[in-house]
Amino acid sequence: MTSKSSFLVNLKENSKRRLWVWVISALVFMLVFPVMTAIVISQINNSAPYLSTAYTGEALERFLHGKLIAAMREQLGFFSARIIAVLGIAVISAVQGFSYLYSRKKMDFYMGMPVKRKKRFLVIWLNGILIYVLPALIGILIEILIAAGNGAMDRSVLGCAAFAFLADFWLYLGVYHLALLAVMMTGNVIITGFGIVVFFLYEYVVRWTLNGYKSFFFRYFNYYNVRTEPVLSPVSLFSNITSAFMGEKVTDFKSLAMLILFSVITGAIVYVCYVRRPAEAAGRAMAFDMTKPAIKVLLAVPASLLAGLVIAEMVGYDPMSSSDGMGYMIFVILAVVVIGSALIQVIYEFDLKGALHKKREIIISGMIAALVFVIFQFDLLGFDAYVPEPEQVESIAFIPQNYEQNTAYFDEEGNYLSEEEFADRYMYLHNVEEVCELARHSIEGYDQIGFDFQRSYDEEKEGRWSESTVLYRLKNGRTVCRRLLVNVDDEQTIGLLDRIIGSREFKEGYMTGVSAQLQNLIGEDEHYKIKANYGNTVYRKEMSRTEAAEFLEIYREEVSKANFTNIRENMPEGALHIQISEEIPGSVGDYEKLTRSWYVNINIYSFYEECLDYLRTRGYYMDYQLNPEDVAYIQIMNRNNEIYQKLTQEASDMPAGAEAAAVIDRDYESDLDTRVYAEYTGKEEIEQIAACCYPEEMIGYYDWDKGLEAENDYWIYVYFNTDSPLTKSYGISASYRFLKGQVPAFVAEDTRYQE
Amino acid sequence: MIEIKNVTKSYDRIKAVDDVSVTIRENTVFGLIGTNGAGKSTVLRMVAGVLKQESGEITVDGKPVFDNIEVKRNIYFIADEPYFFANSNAMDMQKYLSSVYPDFAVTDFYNYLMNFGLDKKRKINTYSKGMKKQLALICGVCSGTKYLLCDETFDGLDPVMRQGIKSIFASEMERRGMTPVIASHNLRELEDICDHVGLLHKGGVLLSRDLEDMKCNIQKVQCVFKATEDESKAISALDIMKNEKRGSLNVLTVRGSKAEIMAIFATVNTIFFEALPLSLEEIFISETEVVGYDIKKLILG
Repeated sequence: MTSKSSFLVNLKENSKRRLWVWVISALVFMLVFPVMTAIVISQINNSAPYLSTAYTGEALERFLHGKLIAAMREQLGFFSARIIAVLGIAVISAVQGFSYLYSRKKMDFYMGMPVKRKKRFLVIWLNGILIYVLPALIGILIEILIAAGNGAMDRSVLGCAAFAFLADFWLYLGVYHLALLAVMMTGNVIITGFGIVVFFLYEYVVRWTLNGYKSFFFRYFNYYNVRTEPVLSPVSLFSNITSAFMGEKVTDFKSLAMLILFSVITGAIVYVCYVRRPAEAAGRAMAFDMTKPAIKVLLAVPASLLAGLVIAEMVGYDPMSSSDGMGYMIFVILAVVVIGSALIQVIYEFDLKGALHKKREIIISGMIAALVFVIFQFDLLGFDAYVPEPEQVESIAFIPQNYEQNTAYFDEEGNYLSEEEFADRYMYLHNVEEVCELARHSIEGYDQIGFDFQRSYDEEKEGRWSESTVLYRLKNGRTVCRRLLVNVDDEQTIGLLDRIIGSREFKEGYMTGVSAQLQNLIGEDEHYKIKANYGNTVYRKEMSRTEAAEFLEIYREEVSKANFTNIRENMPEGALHIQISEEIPGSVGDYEKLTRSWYVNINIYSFYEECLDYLRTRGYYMDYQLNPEDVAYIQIMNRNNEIYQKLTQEASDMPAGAEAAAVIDRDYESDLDTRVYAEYTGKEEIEQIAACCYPEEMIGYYDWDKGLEAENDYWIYVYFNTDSPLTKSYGISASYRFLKGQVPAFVAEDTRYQE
Repeated sequence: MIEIKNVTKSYDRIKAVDDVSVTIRENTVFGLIGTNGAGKSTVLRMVAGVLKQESGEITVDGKPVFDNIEVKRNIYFIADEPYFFANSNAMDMQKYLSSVYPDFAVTDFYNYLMNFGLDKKRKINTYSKGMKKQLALICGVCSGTKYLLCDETFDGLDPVMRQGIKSIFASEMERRGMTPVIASHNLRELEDICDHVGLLHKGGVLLSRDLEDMKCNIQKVQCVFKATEDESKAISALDIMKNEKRGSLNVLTVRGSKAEIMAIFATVNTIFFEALPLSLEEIFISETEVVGYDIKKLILG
C-alpha cells in the first residue's frame, strides 16, 4: 500500500488538479512555438525568388542557409515571445499550485489528509516546474526536428537552444519562486497579485525614486554608472544574460550564477514560509502577522517620497534656487504616508473602519519619509560638497561632455561605448591632485553663482560653465561619480585643464584617435574594412589604409602637443576621417549580410607640424577651407538678431495703442523680418569670403571649451561651379560659417538691416 | 484515545479555544456541543492536525498529531463544508483517498454509494448539500481510520439519512472499533447517538461526561408528600438540584442513583410517587444551571 501513496502517485494526482495549466503550457510550447518556427522557415524559403537577382546557385543556397540558421538561433534562443510565455506560466503555475492555501475548505481537506507538509510542498512545487520543463523540452525538440528537416540546423543553433533553455529554466525558477513567495505571504489571490507586482517592481521604484531625489536635490549628481535596474530581480539578471549572449556573444556567468543563487535562496525562503504558514491564514490578507508593519512601512515610505517628487516637479519646486513649492512637497509626502498606510491597513483588515488603526506605524512611516526628505533637502550626507582627498584616490577619469564630436568610442572587440564608459575603462589620470583641485575650485565657484534655471547668466561676470563627469577611483575599491561644471573662462581652471587635458593619460582615455583599440582595428587586415580620408568635410581626399596607419602613428606622437588652450584657440586645419566596418559574424540581413561601422574623426591643428608635413608630402594638405576657383557664387544671409530682438522688445514694451498695434501688425504680416541677403559673384569678394569661412560641420564641433565660435547672425551658402569636381563629390552647394569677429566689412555692410 | 490537555488557540488575538482539556475514549461516540463560536470546529481542526495549537498538547493514541502522518492515517476529518475536487465525481475522490489512506475500503465505498442512491459518475458539484454531506461521510467511514471527526456533518441530513448514518456508525464501531467525534450546536441532534458529551462554551469546556453516568446520577421524581414533615425530611436527605412545586406536586431533579433515592423515599410518606426518565436536554439544563449557565440560551436557542 505504501507504493500507492508514493511520490509519483501524488505527483500524478496533483497533475489532475492542475490540468488546465498543463494544457496551456503544452499548447504554448508544443504547438504555438513549433508552428511559429515552421512559419519562419517557410517565409525564408519563400523569399528565394526575390534573392535570385542578387545571388545564384550555390551563393543563393549559402545565403538562404545562413538566413535560416540566424532565424533559428533567434527562434530557439532568446525569443521574446518564449520569454513572455515562461514568465506567464511561472506565475500561473505558482499561484494555481498553492491556491488551496487561500481556502479554509481546501485547507481542512488537504491538511487533514495523512500527507506530510514537506511532501505535499515538494509534490506541488516539482509539478509546477514540470509544467514548464516537460512541454518546453518537448516543444524545443519538435522545433529542432522541424528545423533539421528543413536544413535549418547546425551546431550553433543547438548550442543556442541549449543555453537559452538553461537560462529560461533559471528565469522560470526565479519568477516561480518569487510568485510562490507572494502566495506564501498572503492569504488570498488578489493580495497575492498585488504581492507579485510589488516583488517585481519594488526595487525598480525604490531605485527610480532615490535616483530621482539625487537628481532633483543634488546639483552634482550624475546618472553615469547609476544602477536603475534591480539587483534582486530574476528578470533583470536574465536580461543581463541575454544581452551578453546576443550582443557580445559571451556567457554572463556572474549574472547566471546570481540568477541561480537568487532562485535557490527564494526557494528556500518559500519553503520556510510554507512550513511556518498557519492554516488559519487562508482568506486573510497577510499570512504572517509579524510582516504586516514592515510591509506597510516599506510600501508607504517610497510611495510617499515618489508622490512628493512628482508634485515637486509639477509645482516647479527648485530646491537649488528657492524654497517655493517645498511646502507642497512636504504636504504630499505626509499625506501619502497617511493615505497609503490607511489603505494598506484597510487591505489587511478588509474593513474600511480599520483605516486609522496602528497609528504608530503611520508615525514611523512619516518619520522615515521625513528623514529621507531632510537628508536630501539639506544634503546632510554632503553629496554635493564631496571631493575626495588626493591621497584617498587611486586614479581619476575626467570626461568633458561632448568635447570630441562625431567620433565613436569602442573597446578592443569593437563594441560601442559612451564617452563615459570609454574613459571609465581607459582613462587613469594620476595627476589626482590637479583634478581634485579643479573639482574643489569649480564646485566652490559654481555654488557661489548658484544654480537657477529661471535666470540667464551674465557670462561676462559669471563666466561660461561647461559640464563634465569625474570618476574618482578610490583606493578602497569604490568608484565615485560626480557631475562637474567648470568655468572655462577662469584662469586657474584653464591652467588646471591645460595640465589635465594635456596629459597623455587623458588623451589615451578620451581621444579615440590615440587609443590602442583604433590601432588594433586598423592593423587587422583581413577582417576590418577601412575607409580613410583627410579634409574639412566639404573637401576630402581618400587615403589608403597604409597611409592612414602611418599618419596615425605620427599623430599619436604629436598629440602630446595638444592641451586645452591650444585646442581652444585654434581652428583645425582639417580632419582625418576613418570609417571602419566589419561584417557581423553569423549575422544575416533580409537580403545581405549585416555590417557595423565605426567613425573616427581626428582634428589636425596647425601645431601638429609633423602631421601637416606628412600631409603635404603625400599631397593631402589643403591650404584653404574654400577654394574660390570652385565657387560660382555665394549667398550670405544676415539675421540681424540684435535688431530683431530690439524691435520685438519694443513691441512688447509699448503700451496698448495704435503704434504698438502697428508693430504687431507688421510682425503678423512678416514685416518684422530682419534677414538681409547678399549675393556675391565677383572673384575678389569670393576670395575674401573664402579666406575667412569654415564649413558649418567643422565649426559646430567646438562647444565645450567655448573657444572659437561661429558668428550666429551670418549663414553662408556656397554654390559651386557646375564643372567643379565638388559638384559630383559633395553636391551643388555647401553651408559655411564665419568665426566670431571675422566677418568681412563689406559683407557686414551689405547685409545690415535698414528700416 | 484522543487527549486534549490545556489547549489554547487564538485567531487575531481572540481566543477561540482557551485551556481546553478533554479526553475522548475509543469506541465511543463523542459529541462536542456548543454554540456558534464556542470553539468546536477549532478543537476538531486541531485534533485533525489542520491547525497547530498555541499551547497545550493534543495526542492521539499517545502521539502528537500535527504533521504526523502515522497518526493522521487514523483520523479522517469531515469539515463543516466538505471539499471535493473541482469537476470531480465520487470515483475521482475514491481514487485520491485510496492513494492516501492505505485501508480505504473501495468495495464498501461503492456499496454505500449505491445504498444511499448517489451516482458515482455524477459530478459532485451537481450534488445537493445533503448529498455532499452523505458523500463526505461515506468517504470518512470508508477511509478505514480509527477516528472520524465530523464537524456539523449531520446538519442538513434528513432523518432517514441520519438514521442510516447512525446504523453505519454502529456497525463500523462494532466491526473495527471506529470512534466518531461529532461536533454540533444542536443537542437534540446528538441525543440518541452519543455516548459521551463535551460541552464547549466561549472556548472553554463546561463539562464532559458519559451520558450513561449522567443519566444514572440524576433522577427526576414527581411526588406528593403526605405531610409537611415528610417533605422536609425527604428534601433534607436528598441532593436536590432543582425543585419545582406545582400546588402539592413536587417535581424534583435529584443527584444520586435510583436505588439511593428510592431508599430515601421509602422512609417518608407520599400520596403519589413516580420516577421519570430524563432527556439529555434536561440533564444538561440541570448540570449547567448548577454551574450558573442558562443552557437554553447556549445550545437550545
